[in-house]
Amino acid sequence: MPDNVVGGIEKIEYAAASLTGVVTTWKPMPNIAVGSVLHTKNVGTKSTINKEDGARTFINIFTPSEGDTLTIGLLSQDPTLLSELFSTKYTAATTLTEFYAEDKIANLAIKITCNPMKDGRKCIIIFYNTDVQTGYTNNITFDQVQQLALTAALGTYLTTGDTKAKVYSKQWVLANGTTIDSTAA
Amino acid sequence: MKVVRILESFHVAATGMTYKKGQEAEFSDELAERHEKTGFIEIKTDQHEPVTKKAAKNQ
Repeated sequence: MPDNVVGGIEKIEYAAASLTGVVTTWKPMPNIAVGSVLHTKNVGTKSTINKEDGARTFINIFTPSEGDTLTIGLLSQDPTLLSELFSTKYTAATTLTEFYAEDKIANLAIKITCNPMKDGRKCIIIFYNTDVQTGYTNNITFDQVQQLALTAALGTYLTTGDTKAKVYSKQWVLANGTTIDSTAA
Repeated sequence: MKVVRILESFHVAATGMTYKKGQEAEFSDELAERHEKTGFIEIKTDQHEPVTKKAAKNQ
């Protein structure tokens, strides 16, 4: 049977966040910086109570961690995307973007389409509800470009008919996007 | 068996078959039932023999 692996990025898209896990129209988030995309799954801390009569564990106590995060670096600064990420005033006639003093937390859904890495399958990862803070990274020099550094705090969503909150989804499809029925024969 | 029309392309890993949108195919009852739920197909013809005919055969 084919293997399901995750790697390489074909494209990243975004839309307004959805609390129900339904997004119909995605907009492109172009020019991803190589090696900048990282999904961090935070793990809770463990503490142990041992028994007095030996070093054996009596009980493990797990403290929940902070939520997961997703970071993305963008090489280009598209005015439409800038207006999603920052509080801006954009004048298309002069391609002028003015940045307001206030900070903005962008509430976005983010879809990452990976490259087919193995057995002709690629992974589509969707985060439906994220709070994105954006900063800059890199000096402005002749051999670098200023990057937009997005840090998305991953929130939850609840699909219709489900009672448990979800954070993200992963779906493997064929290289051309065809859905796969993996039901055992 | 059922004759179905494919509404959305999909691949069946167990058989290695890929069905393309617009195509017509013959599906087992199980496969047809599964993908009627996903909305990927539309059942055109149920090729089951009528119950009455079956019952007659068994007699």
